[in-house]
Amino acid sequence: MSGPVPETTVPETTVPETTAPETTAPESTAPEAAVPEAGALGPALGADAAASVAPVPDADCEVADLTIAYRAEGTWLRAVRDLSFEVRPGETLAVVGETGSGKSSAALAIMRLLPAAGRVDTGSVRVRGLDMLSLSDRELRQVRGKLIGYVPQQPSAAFNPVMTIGRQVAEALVTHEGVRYKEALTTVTQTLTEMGLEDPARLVRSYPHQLSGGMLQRAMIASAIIARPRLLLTDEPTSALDVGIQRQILNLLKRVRDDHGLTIVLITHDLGAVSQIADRVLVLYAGRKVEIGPARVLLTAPRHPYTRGLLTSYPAAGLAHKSRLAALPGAPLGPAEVDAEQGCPFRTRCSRVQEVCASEFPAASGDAVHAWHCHNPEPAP
Amino acid sequence: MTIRAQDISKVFMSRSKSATSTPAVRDATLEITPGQTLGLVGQSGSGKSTLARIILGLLRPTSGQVLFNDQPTSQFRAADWGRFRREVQAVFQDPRQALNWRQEIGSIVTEPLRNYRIGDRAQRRARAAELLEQVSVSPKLLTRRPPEVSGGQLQRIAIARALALEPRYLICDEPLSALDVSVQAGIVNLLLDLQQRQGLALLFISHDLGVVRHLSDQVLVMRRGEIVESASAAEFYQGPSHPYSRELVGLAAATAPAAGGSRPGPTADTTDQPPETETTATTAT
Repeated sequence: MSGPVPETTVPETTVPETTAPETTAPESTAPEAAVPEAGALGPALGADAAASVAPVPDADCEVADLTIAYRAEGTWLRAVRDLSFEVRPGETLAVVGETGSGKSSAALAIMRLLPAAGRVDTGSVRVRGLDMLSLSDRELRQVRGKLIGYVPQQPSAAFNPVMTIGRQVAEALVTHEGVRYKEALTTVTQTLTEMGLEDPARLVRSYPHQLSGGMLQRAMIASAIIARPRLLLTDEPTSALDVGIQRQILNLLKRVRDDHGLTIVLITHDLGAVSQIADRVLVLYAGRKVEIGPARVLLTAPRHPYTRGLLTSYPAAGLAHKSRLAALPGAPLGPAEVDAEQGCPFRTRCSRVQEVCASEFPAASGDAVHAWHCHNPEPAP
Repeated sequence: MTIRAQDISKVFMSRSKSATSTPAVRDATLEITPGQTLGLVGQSGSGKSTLARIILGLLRPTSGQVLFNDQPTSQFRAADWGRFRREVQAVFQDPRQALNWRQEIGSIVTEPLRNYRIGDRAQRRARAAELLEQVSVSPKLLTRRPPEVSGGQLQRIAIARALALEPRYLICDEPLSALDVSVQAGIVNLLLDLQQRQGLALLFISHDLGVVRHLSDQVLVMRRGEIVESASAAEFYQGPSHPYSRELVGLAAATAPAAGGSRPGPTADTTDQPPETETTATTAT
């Protein structure tokens, strides 16, 4: 990227922003150079962030053996089962899945935002080494926005309709840096400009209903990154938007990621978005991890039949006009079926099903780069 | 045997006096013919659904007319509408909203038959099973109600209801966008099969160019209420002429996943684009 990143008014209270020379930002710096201070929260973070010479942690986010259940008519139904994955510093991990796959539940669990009817049964979530599941409410407030930024699916629903855009975008700064709104305003207008929004001075006085969906999503991204989090969780950030705007928002996310050295978790069902922005892809089906690997590999040579099915069910270039598509039979499982499933949840729709699939969820095959859970995987290319 | 929309415009009256009213649809002309699929693509707010509703007779155009077998629908009497509705049926975006949740599936799909007093109870029951079979839904679902059925199944059921009167025309307004990705392809295949078997005329409305291009014989591109491009699918594959269509095609190419494993991986070449500035709709829309 050319030009300096606009960061003139760094809040006065905190420690020096970076050790790297600010004037000549080399193109898309190594992650450790752009690490924002994690600040106030405990020694776990302090030690981590202060160590500008210490090794970069292996993962910005580690989810291990996570099982999430929801209460439904007196019982608890598991919506996510034994989910493990890590998000590496500076990467963009796409989490792909359909209704009921558990992708949003996983994200909410990382943020500790599961609704009252949901709970984490087992497993752990670590964000930059910090055990998210053990934090108190007070600690959580310090972490959200500062350590983790969040961009929800529908900005129009997420913004407070009776508060100005400026105040809402400034909220993370006001909360975390203890600055007043007036002092934060410069940073707010700068961040809005960085998001490609025109006339930020007027924008900060506007209310959400005065903005289009695309503009709102830009403002939402501004509010998510204004306190310089390291990890950005985005839940279907483009699905409520028009096709053209979708691409703009994805490009914006890419630019923000590169400028700020962000780690992004992108939750989506849109393989187009995946191909545009993701480094790695995690595919979930009915609460289970079925495949994980580099985006390039998963989009061209998937090993799990479900991933393959997702790819071939869309009319690809070269397919004969008006010919039948390779549709998956049936539909995704409902919550009770997800919970009750003993074997592979995809087996009822799978063309490669075997007897063993009914009784046993397959262990991981492959390696640390590309892994899949399937008894009878697609042949390697 | 066609439906022809001629120079259709529609202006919605704005409540505030200061606002100038821009037409939702402007001078749109199209023709739907049996055995063919006419694809209508455009972003939300481009006027696709308004145009569909005018064709269906659910909205009155501000100017222009809809001709059904050369007879303008504006001069229709009740009996003419009765005939029209037998031949022209609709499938909407979200079957969860389009179907009555308190009605059994069997009753849903035969409602058009009851409206037209076709057959007796036993005949209708038999026909219901037949209709579900046509859309590959198990007859076991006849006594279920919509909340117990998945979205993809419900859209099939909505299609079955639309087929009950054996129409010649099916107006499909975003029939896929409320469905999971893995079940969309099944609906596309169903529409293809139905057209092949029954020679249905389809108006297929979608914002998804990839699907429209695949399904349609003729592709219309709509933008801000106007049809800016009309091309045969073959022409459209080779390269649309209107700059906006080219932009759409470019977007589709850039966002389409590389499918089937034969194509090279995605290219990440757009990282260094300048920030796009959004200029549309600065105030309330």
